[in-house]
Amino acid sequence: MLRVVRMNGLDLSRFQFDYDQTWAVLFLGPDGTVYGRYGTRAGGGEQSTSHLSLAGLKNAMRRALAVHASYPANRDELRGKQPHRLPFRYPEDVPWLARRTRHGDVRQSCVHCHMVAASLIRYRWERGELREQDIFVYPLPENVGMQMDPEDDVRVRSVRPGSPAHKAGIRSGDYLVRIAGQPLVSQADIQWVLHHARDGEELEVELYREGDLVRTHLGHPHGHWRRGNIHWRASTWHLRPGMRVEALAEEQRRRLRIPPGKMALEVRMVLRFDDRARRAGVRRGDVIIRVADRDDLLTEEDFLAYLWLHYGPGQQVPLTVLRGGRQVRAILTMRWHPPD
Amino acid sequence: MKRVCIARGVLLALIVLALPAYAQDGGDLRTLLKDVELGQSWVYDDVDAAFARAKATGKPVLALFR
Repeated sequence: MLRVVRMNGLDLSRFQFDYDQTWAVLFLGPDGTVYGRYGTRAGGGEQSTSHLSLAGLKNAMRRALAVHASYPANRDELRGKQPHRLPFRYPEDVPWLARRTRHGDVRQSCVHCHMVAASLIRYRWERGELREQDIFVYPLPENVGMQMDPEDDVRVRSVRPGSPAHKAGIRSGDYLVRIAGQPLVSQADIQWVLHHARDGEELEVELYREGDLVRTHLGHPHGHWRRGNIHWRASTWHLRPGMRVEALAEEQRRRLRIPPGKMALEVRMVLRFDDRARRAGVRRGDVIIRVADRDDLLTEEDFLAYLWLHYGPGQQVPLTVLRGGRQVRAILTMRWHPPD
Repeated sequence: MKRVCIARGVLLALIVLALPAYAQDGGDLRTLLKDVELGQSWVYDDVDAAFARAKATGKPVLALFR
């Protein structure tokens, strides 16, 4: 068993997983072949551990041992589990992380997992290559309508009516065996498949239902199916441009006469150590009602995704906010924080 | 309000002063992480050693990132 507490010097072409996890496991063969992953988080507070359990880990370990027992005969079906090409191989290949690792103090020089994730976002954004799937990484099974049993990660606990899982005929109590040909060890393996799936791609699913093997196809909803709660992800904290916003409560919307379906994001906090919002002229208590020509960004996730997917370094974003009953204009300049 | 701010400042100062000195001096990482219980079965932060052991025993690796 290998315990990794810092990413310094780690070969990212071998070790890929959801880097925002506070607790993550990779199961690997002696030759480095990835057998599977374990570790899923849905949010903060109780949601930080809602998808984890000792029983779930134990079952995942048992399934990983089964994969190992069949190796190398099952090598072909493990191909999809192997790491994909990244823009950099080691954290030290990233300039801003390399500077950190040269610091003399152990704590200060430590590269955390989420720093790798944040670096991937920054790298792609600065090159104009950022995609929705780079921000909304490792979608939960819930995003396609399945809630899995945390005591046994591959058992379906419930299926949301009308969801892609429901349309695929997946039912509560089913045991998922493979998705896209990849044997599943845990929910993290489902997330791995969803993370790398192409929009609109149909994924073959094999499952056991009362002892019978069933095959079906899972389709994805089009549009923003990957989106979910990213508040807990340390890698996306950099995306908050010096402020935290929250959707206005219904009562306050009515008081301000903001129609349903229209943007109303209250600035709950202007950050002290990040001056992006302050320089834009935004104040705590402002209600953002428009970003450029968009007034349909209803959540913080929508707002952040719009900013970072549509504006590059140094570009200026016009904001319209409500303050004291009047509309006020603010200009936000896009840049990464902290600056180098 | 002023008393509350002063009280909070004093409390914060006490907390900072109570931090172990080794957190500031670049000491070994293991000693900084109090939640680590190093049993014989764990390889700590050494990928090459972990895979060498896996090859020698024929057993897979469980790599924990925390």
